Amino acid sequence: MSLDFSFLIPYIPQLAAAARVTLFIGVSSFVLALAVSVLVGVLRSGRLPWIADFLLGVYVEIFRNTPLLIQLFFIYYGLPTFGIVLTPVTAAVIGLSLNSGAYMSEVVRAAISSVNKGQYEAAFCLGYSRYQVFLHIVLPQAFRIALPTLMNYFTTMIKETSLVSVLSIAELTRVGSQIYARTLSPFEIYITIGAVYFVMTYSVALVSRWIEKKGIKWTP
Amino acid sequence: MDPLIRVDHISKSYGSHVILKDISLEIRQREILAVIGPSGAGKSTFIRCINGLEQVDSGSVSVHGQTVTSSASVAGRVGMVFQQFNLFPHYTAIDNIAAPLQTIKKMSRSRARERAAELLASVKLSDKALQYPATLSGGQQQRLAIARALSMSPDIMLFDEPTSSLDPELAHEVFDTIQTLAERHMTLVLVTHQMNMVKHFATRVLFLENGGIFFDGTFEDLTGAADPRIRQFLKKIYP
Ligand SMILES: Nc1ncnc2c1ncn2[C@@H]1O[C@H](COP(=O)(O)OP(=O)(O)OP(=O)(O)O)[C@@H](O)[C@H]1O
Ligand SMILES: [Mg+2]
Repeated sequence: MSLDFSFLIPYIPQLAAAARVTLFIGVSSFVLALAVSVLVGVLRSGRLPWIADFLLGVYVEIFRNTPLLIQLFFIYYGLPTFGIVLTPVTAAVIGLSLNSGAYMSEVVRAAISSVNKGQYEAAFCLGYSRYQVFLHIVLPQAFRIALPTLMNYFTTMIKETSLVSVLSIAELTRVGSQIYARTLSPFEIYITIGAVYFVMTYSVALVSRWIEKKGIKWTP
Repeated sequence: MDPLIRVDHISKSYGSHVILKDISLEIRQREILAVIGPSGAGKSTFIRCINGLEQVDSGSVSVHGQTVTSSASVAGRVGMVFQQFNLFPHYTAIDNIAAPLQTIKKMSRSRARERAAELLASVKLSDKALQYPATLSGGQQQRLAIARALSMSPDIMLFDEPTSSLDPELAHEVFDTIQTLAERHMTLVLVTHQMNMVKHFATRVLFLENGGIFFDGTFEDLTGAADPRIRQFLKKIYP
């Protein structure tokens, strides 16, 4: 068998557009997931009224214990039953960010609770209020602890965007399959698509490593 | 003169485990009180009740006549130095002092750094200003922690075994820093297992055992005490 990638050349604009869609969904879902996870993680590591803690716990457990695909179907096909109609891309971003947000909130919570008790005591003795301790002392330290794991979720999330092809979004996986259907050259097309995913996720890993090494100067 | 600290019949338990039993005492200004006693005697718990890190079950502690209800009620006025330093790892040495001044005392950044630089100089750490705590030796970290507590201009400083996690040479640096505070007639409470510190600094020694005050007097009285329990304890840590 001989490999020939040249037949793909006419499809480059289409692939580039698809890569942009994947990147858009991946990045915006991650940013939203980060916001959700910090909010939920911070709230759940504090002293909440039990009902609020219970409801946030329900959210986290539902999204961690059901398949992402079902969550996407529910948001896109199920929510219109309640009059909530979303575009496929919006549904995809909401699904991905709520899903990863649930996992990531546990990372944030664990990072916050791993900050040494002595840090709170020293700060309280100096005169920091609870809020000031949290903002100035605990969060920066928790951020450092959580960062590598959160960035790992980012790469996972980019790969998970391939699932949203089921919502007929013209992202990489779906466009790849369409090109395959037309050209019948699965090997070349899927290796190309795979390479594009690889470049994206590996870049995230590199950025993450850079932040850990250069962006944070202190060590615990 | 009114006492600086008044400890009035305080008791403290963890579950059914009684730690402090009905302790009363007054600490006057300029006193240097050493607190000694076997491990588990309640020494740490005692000073943590003074700065509000622990809540008493009954009785009360007051500082300058004001009742201590939480660490917030005496924050800044009662300085605390921990065995494990508890420096802020994400701040440089100078920011460990300047950041709290900005946050709590609402000082401007330049004013806070100026004050922090003075304090660093007073504990001989000027050349380490821009280093992070993790890159400092234990002795340097503890001196920085002392300077940080001093930044709030406390009326009294509490030390919970400030040299116990340090090698003897490094402990000496901290010893010297405490010496400068003693020379300035600061009121100090010093929990320690090191009898040379007690002998050198203490104007008064408190021997805690089983949550009660077993002895309260001068170092000379302590070493001259006839009580077999005190003699046995002293023999162990001060042969
Ligand atoms: N948060 C806590 N919960 C339960 N028990 C505690 C707690 N803190 C201290 N204790 C117990 O209280 C007792 C006295 O503790 P404390 O730390 O005051 O003793 P100490 O005299 O400082 O001892 P050491 O010399 O070992 O530091 C110990 O038996 C300890 O196990
Ligand atoms: Mg102790």
